[in-house]
Amino acid sequence: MKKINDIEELKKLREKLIKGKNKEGIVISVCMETGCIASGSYEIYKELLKEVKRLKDKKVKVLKTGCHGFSEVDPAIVIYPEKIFYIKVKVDDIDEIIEKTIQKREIIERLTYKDETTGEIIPYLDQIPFYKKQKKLVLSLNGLIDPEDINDYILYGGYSALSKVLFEMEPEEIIEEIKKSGLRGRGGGGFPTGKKWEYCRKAEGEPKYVICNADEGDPGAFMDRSVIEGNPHSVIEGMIIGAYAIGANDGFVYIRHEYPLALKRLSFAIQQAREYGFLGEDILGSGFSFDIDIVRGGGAFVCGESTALMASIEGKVGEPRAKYIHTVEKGLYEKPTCLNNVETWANVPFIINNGWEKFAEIGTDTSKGTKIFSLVGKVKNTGLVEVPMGITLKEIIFDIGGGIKGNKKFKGVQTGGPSGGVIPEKYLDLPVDFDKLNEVGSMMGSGGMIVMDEDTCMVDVARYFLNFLKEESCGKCVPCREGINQMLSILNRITEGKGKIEDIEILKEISDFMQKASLCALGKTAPNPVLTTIEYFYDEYVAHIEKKKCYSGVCKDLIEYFIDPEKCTGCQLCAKNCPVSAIEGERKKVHKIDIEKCIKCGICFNVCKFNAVERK
Amino acid sequence: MENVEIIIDGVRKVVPKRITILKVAQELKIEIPTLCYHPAIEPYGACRLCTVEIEKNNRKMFVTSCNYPIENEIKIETNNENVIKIRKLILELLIAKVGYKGKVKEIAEKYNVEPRFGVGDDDCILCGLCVNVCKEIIGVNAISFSSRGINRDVSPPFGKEAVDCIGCGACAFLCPIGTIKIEDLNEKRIITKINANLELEKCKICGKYFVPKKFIEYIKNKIGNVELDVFLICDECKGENYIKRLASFSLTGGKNE
Repeated sequence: MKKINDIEELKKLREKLIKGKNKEGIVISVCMETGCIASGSYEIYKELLKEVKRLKDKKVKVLKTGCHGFSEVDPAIVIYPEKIFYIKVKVDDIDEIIEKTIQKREIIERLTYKDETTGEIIPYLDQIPFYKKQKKLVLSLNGLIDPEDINDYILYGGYSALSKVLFEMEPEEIIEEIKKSGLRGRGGGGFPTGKKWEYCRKAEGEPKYVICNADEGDPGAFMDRSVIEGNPHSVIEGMIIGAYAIGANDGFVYIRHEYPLALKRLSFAIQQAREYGFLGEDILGSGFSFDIDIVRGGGAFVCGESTALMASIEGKVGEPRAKYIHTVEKGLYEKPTCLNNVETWANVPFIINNGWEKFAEIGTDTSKGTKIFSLVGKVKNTGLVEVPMGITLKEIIFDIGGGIKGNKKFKGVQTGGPSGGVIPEKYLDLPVDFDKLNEVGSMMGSGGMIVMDEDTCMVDVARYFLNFLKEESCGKCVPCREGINQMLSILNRITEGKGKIEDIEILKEISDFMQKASLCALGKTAPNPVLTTIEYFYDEYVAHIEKKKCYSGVCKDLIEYFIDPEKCTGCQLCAKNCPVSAIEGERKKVHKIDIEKCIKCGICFNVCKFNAVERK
Repeated sequence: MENVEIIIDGVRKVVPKRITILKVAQELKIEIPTLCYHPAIEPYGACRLCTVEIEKNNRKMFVTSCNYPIENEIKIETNNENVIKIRKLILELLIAKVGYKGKVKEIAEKYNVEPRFGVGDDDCILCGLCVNVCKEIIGVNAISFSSRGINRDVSPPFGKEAVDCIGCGACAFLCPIGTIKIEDLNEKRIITKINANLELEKCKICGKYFVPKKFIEYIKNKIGNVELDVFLICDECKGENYIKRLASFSLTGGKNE
């Protein structure tokens, strides 16, 4: 790759790339993100390459891209220009796709998405309900570009924001632009990004640093990973712009080692950006120099906390310190440091390219732009969604997500990971933004969204998150380390049917204490799952404690399985499947479960065809 | 140095900017309990026992007084009901972990803590004084924190023997609950908890084993050209020697300056 020395050369390169693109006919894009590869997309990609090569048609191209978001139907392919969307594609389907769709322009109905309720066949991506209500700013190029090819990014206007700031804007103007856009930190805190940049620019001390926090660690969250795997250059470009605005020449991306593909693509992208001269000395002949180092994290959840992350970069134990002096003044190596999350950085090029007004027109009064969520749990359409701020939870879960799996009833949605809370049905019309989620006791967090149905026990949910944090707290301060431990013991007791009604007040007391006295945000927010479940699902706690019952059928100590003699046909299916041989009964005679032997796995309950096994 | 006016427990006071609340309180003889704080070591802020309530720009919040630098006019309450509630719960949680030991016992008795979560028998409150003194003052880093969350512990590298330990005993001196102990047995020094096992050197005068060989080596490397013999005399003999020398000076008419 030849170095690009000035704006003119960049423009010429882009024009050349656009000309080449216009000659293209059909593009088959295959999602090659971690989740999609796991479901078999790599084999499909290889096979498609082979088959397309055989066609000897230069107008047909196979492209590996970032995630299209609809994880539920993986592996999926999109055929451009029409955007034909084929789901759950198998290697065996490829011959037919080439023959019918690529050569004859016919749609193969069996591979298309079908609306579950109406049965309507929806062959085109844009018409699928999952995509209709989404608004893609950050993920706009996922599916269109090869994340391992910088030219693809440049073709769609990549690095034009960088050339704009370097030659047309003063650092203060950039900061003003970001401030006016209303962009707030996407990592969870929601601090106004422009203000952070301004404080860091004004802070005394040299050198200054910028950091990208890619230490995504919430259970069930994969937003940042998908951004890096799908469009790593958007993050890099955002960081260069931020560094220029702040006056930093060194940047770090802190990314967890458990993200090997994201790590690979990011390293690749940084290398390409260096070769083109977007990173390094005298970027595009502007005189400004900046480069990025990648630091791999060992996967400790607490290292997503900014001061712990910085300690980890410095090679120290990843534990937080007091932030009475902010990191914008004394951060990495005690120097002014601006840390933003992956998604925050990736929003920057859009704002610079399109102006703050375009960004600020999306969203609510206090939260602008879009937010990416990983929509998981008991929802029909799991996946990665990008929605405008202010959209309601109902729209995300029922319109985009298609509602609850298996015709069960919605019970709650957990946002913000272990730091967030469970939001009940009565708040489904809540517009999603930073402040509204806080008002109901949860938080935006980095964007995890776990949907729960009627089979979810809320006491167990609180227990689950504390169990996660018990090991993921750094353990430095007493309130977080010991508070979590004590709350967990209490919750364990409740789920075992040994709870007392006073325990609920003690849980609240420890929660309040942790919010006030913990050192960092991990400890201060750790009680949220407990507090929200107590507030919104109080009856469940009482049922566990007083009636010794878990009506969702989750807490094993509080449930019993038995066979209804009226319904049992003596088919022996349950007895054959019982892993501990706890079911006895002769053929065609009523069976019985030996309560002493039963381990309450629920297999009999699930296999019985006559609903004869009951759970109480 | 710039000054700033604060109100602490109702008293108006002008203090230098960036001084910590704890230092101001100590000067004013206001008692704030601490477990992880020592004046020679960077405030660590782990035990949270020194938490106080402050009011800044009409907003109330809780901060740890050991490491909160006073930047602007704030109102501080070091001992109000909210603060006491926090301290009591910290002590209660620590008793659940280690039981009534050392300084935890002493402070818990002062605060009349009634343990609802039981009385534990772990050996460490993870205050970090041992780790931090070894790092900051001694400069050896023989021990560190290991694991995280509820599994956090103080240990030598990989939980094996503390091979870098020089046996100075600073950790044992600072341990607030007396878990780290020095045990000298003839030519061996054992330091409990941190798993250190050191060879001792004899006193040049009385012949008693008294100082770890590694300690002498470390001092020698640190200071350089110093006659090592000075360090090879035990404290008792040093004292005796010194008095003898003093006595000899007075006999010669105190000519020594």
